[in-house]
Amino acid sequence: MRVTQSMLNTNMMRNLNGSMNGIDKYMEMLSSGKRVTRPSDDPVSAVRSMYHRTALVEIEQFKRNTTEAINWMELTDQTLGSVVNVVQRARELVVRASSDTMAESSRSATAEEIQQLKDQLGALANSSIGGRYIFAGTETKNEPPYDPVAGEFVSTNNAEIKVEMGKGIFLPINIPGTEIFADSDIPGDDRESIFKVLDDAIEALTNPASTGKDIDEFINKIEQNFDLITSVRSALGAKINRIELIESRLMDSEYSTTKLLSDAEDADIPKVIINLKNQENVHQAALSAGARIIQRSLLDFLR
Amino acid sequence: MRSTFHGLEVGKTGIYAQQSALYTTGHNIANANTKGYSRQVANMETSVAIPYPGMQMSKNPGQLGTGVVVSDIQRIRDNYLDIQYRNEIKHLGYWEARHETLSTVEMILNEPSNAGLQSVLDKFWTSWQDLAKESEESSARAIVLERAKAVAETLSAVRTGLIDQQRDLNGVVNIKTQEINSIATQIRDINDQIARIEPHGYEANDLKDQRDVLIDELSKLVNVDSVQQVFFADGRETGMVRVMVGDVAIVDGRQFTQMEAVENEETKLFDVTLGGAPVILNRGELRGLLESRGINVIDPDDPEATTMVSGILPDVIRHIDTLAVELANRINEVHSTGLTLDDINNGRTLANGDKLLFFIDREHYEATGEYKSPTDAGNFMVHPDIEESLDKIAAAQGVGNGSSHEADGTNASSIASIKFEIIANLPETATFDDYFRNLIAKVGVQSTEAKRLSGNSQILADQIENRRQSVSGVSLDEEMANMIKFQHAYNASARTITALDEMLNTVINSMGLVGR
Repeated sequence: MRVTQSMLNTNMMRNLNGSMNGIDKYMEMLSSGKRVTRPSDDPVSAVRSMYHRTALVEIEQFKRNTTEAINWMELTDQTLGSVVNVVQRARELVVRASSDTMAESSRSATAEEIQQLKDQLGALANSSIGGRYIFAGTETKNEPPYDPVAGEFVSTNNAEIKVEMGKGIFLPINIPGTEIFADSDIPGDDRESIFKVLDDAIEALTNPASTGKDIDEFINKIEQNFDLITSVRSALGAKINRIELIESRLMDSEYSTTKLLSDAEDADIPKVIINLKNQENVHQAALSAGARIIQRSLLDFLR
Repeated sequence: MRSTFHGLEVGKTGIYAQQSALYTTGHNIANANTKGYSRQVANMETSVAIPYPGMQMSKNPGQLGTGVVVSDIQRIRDNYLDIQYRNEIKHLGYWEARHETLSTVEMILNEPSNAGLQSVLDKFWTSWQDLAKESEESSARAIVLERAKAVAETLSAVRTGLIDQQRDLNGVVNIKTQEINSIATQIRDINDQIARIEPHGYEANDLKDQRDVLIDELSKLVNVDSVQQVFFADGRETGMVRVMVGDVAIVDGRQFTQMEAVENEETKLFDVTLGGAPVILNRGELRGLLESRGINVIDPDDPEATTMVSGILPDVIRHIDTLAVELANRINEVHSTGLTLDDINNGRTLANGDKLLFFIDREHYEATGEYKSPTDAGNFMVHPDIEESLDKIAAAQGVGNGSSHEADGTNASSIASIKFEIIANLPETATFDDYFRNLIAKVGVQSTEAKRLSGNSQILADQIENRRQSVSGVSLDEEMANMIKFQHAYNASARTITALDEMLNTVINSMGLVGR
């Protein structure tokens, strides 16, 4: 086939251009670290990488949710722990005071102490996290659930605050105060609010006419509340465990999703570097060969 | 009778012929790098030998050659390769146009990345999740508002980018139409010039080269289906050509058909006509541009219906609009059935609650002050009441038909869950995320295909061009060698003249001078 100078030129330029394109592509991969920067580089991987990115955002959000849930629940747990101690102390006091042999002055001292315990209980009932009452159901801002002036637990809000821990998995993070501090609303259960019980106990203790037997009945009432609170607390502990499991699963998910994202998107750096080196060599060979060939013509040899 | 000066004449023809050949070689060398140039060769033939047979012919031994004559200057060109080239280059033009559009669309959509629409939407959904956890906190509400505004802005930016590109392409269509007309006019003019020359028996080689270059250029823009010779009534060639695009002769000898770009009232895009009728193109850059920008599609069953514009950009814009409109509709549906913090603080229930839409149509609001769901992706706006007061975000859902309290985030949770819902009004079974990813996948595949096919076409076109160069290109080495050849022949012819001159000198000056 007849070959002309211009053909040699054109061919050389086209091949050089092709090899420059290759170098450009590998340089971009190397400097961005990504194999796929546009959907057209690899449409399937691009869409997959979008999917994984979104999944990562979702997982992060769920992790945030579980962290907040655990914070809330742990505070509730600690508060309930203090509540248990207070109720325990109240019970001890009442047990001692129920003995007929207690002097009147001791009884009134006991009554004083129980009053203090009641106030402390009230303060615990008004615990808050980040400015929100934890025992007020969904009325977390406006009024404290325990009214220190009236000495009563006034909140009637038993709504749960539900938080999403996973797709479609909603768990309540709060214990409504009405469950613990108010009168029982289970039909057939005659448990009274601990505040009322303590109030009544104080009244009985300050009444000089009360006998040991009168005071004795309060022990049972206090115990009813004690049992309730400890059982609520252990249920809460179980919930916390469950959420911690969810959290750990989320962390594993995060790790594996990040890995999938990297597989879809990231460039294999050693491979890219080797390819780039190859391409450079090819390019150099093309340049040097081209330079030698296109310079020669018959004119150099004619006289 | 033998002529005395026969030899001189023969030498002279030799000199003239070799000179012509040298001039042609010089012309070739000078035009070695001219685009579209085909090398020319001076064909030499022996001139008519003598004696010519007849009644009174000479009895000398014959026939005796009378030298050389240049019969014609031939243009070395393979027409079949031209046809092949034009067939291939129209594919190149078409796919290049599509690839460029799709590359720009990819850039506008900017996925996968941390800055594209998907990322903005992801953060939007998480802001509702955070609100569900603490719906009484105005900080969480503020974040929802800002993220919502980011969604509106991103949708608007994407849509504007696409519309701007469509407008640009529309302008380019107009420019290409002018270009085509200009090329057709030039072809017509060259036809005219050639027609004045060829009937005299001359070869208009250089003009034909120029015409072929123009037809090549035209082939990239539109599909040139055939280039036919125009004949006189008696069958002789005029030297002019007829260039067919589909069924229409865009250039026919000294006539040419105008291509026009007329703005369509309804779509605001240019309609391209050739000779009054809508142009029918199957390949070429113009078709690629039209398909990118969008072509009117008339429903054959219902010609009076509103014209739908279909093409790369209109389809992407439609996809984004559908995504945006359905997103707004669904969010508005849930939001307007929730209780705002304002409702809760004033003890209202759903029956007499605010029932606000979350996203509204900006144009409609600015024109009439009324609220309705957005009609396209460019018109998103957060309800002005919400901008004014964060309490107007409806995060709560009262129990039964009652009111609620400030930490109720059930409605916010419902809105956050929309992300995972299969949406009924989308054309396929998908969540919003799926639907958006479908768009990216579609654009990605189309772009890869356009890149691959334009690369293939380029390789094929280059190969054909190589073959053309092989046949018609000037090889400087060859011309050098030829130059030496002609030079020697010229020298030798000059020598024969000298030799004959000496001989004649003997005859003229030395014969018949005996004894003087």
